[in-house]
Amino acid sequence: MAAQSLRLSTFLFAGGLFTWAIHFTVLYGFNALACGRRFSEVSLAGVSIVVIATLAITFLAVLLLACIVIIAFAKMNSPAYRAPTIAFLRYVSIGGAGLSFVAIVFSATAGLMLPACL
Amino acid sequence: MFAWIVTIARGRLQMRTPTYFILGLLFIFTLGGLTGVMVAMAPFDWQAHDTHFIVAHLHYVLIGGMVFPMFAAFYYWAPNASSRPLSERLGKSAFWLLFIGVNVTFFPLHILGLMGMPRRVYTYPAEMGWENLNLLATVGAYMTGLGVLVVLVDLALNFRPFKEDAGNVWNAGTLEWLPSGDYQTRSIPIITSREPLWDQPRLASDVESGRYFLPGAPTGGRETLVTSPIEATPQYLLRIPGPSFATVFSAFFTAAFFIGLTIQLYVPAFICGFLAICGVLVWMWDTDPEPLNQPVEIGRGIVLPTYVSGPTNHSWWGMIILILVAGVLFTCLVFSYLYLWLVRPETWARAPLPDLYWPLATAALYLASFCCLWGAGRLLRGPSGPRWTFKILLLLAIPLVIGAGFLELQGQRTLGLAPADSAYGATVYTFLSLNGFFSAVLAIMSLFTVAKSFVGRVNAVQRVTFDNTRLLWNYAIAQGFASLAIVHIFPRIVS
Repeated sequence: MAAQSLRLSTFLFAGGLFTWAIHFTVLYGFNALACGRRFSEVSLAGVSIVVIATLAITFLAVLLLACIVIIAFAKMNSPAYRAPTIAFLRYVSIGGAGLSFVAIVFSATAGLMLPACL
Repeated sequence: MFAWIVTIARGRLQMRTPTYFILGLLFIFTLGGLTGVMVAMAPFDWQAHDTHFIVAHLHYVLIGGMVFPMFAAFYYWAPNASSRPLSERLGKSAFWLLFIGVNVTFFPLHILGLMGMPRRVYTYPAEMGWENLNLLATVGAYMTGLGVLVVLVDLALNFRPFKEDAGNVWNAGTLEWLPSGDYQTRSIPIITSREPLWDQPRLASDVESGRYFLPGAPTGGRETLVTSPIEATPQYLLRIPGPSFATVFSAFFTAAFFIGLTIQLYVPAFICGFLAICGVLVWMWDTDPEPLNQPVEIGRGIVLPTYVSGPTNHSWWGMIILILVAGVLFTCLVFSYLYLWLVRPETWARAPLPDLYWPLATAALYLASFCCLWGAGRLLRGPSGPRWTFKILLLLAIPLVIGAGFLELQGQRTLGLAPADSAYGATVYTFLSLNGFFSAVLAIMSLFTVAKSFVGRVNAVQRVTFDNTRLLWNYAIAQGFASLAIVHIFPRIVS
């Protein structure tokens, strides 16, 4: 039980930062492809494809972060998760998810507000 | 910065010499940081570049960031190495001389720089109006020199190594202040907080009287504990090789290899590199020692094995981390390929691709070498030592993995692609070189494993050398397949 809770906590602990890394990579890659292969002007219902992709990727990333925070909070009251090491990992998970949220919104804002290609 | 702020905010600051130096560091380094923000702005840097402003900025950063903390560390830890602590009175005098001296020397240089005085000059015309500030800086330099002299006098008067050290004169809470002789700590303690010497009042005496782990040497040799990474649960007793010159030899020739490359003495550099690898192999020969039949007690009734393999073993983790590093390197290379393909079409100039039978043959050889390692692993399971087929399979895997790299190279060369042709050529040859490098490493590791199995040091239990070789082998095969996919399959899909 303790080993299982430790494993889950370690997974959650890295989860937020991984989400940030993947969001950044996908956003960067899509933007580069849209410019390099010249499909950044394509639009759906009057909205640019880069904006749609940015919003979709960001929505998924924020959803993932929310899951991490909800699981970390939900496990707070079960006894196996009260051991000091695991409690520390849980707080770091929530902090890491918070930091990643700010970073993800920051990257997405650049994607939404600046022109896709220079 | 955050660590310093929180440490100071949570604690109760004692105004002793090390604290003075740390506060000095915060003041000076912050000023250097602020001018750093200034010179990071291109319009300002355009004016300040190559003037004395930069000299001032660099010295505020380096003296604040390196010299002051070094003095702080020296005053703080001197009692750990000397039978007498250094003098508080001399230390504080030295601090004030250094702090005022450094500021008097370097602050005027900001102004001189803004007045237009270039850096790297030893003299200037009299009519420039820079004399007074330069004179002030010179006074500051002598003051700084005097500060260093006071530290040297303090050392001469009070620093007495080679005797019993002065001990925990600061009443510090961290583990380096446990009593220790030439042998580090007498026993390895269990700690429960960040400042164990404050929170566990009997810790020092308990450690000294051997009430914790490994008060003696249960196997009679050099050894230490391996614990789980997060909760530090003892897992096994790691036996370490004794003193040897192989380490010194390897270190010397590793340094000589890199220095040789730096000064472009390529042949001597590669001879040194070869000797360094030999040194490491000799050193590694005594690691992965023969398993002992009985587990041993490490103290407090805990009995641990003296040999483990698989994910509990420390070297398994070492190999996993090496693989992660190699994976990051490879990912960077893939990124470079994609970046150049996408963003730099003018230098990319992709050449025609080799026929598909080249990459397919390469993949077949990779797969065959993987099967050899897999088969060797199966042969290692039996209760008796490995049979001769084990050695044959390990030896057979070497030409297969090297042959795979050779086929890939030939495939590109038949179409006349050269590394200097284009960005495409350079990137493809970098993939080839990286895979070739891994093949060479695998060949050495495989030969080493076979050599160890000849003297009976590889078997079903004593298998860490083989496990590590196989781990890296599996990674290298995966990397080889990924290279083939990106060089041969990706362009066919996107074009």
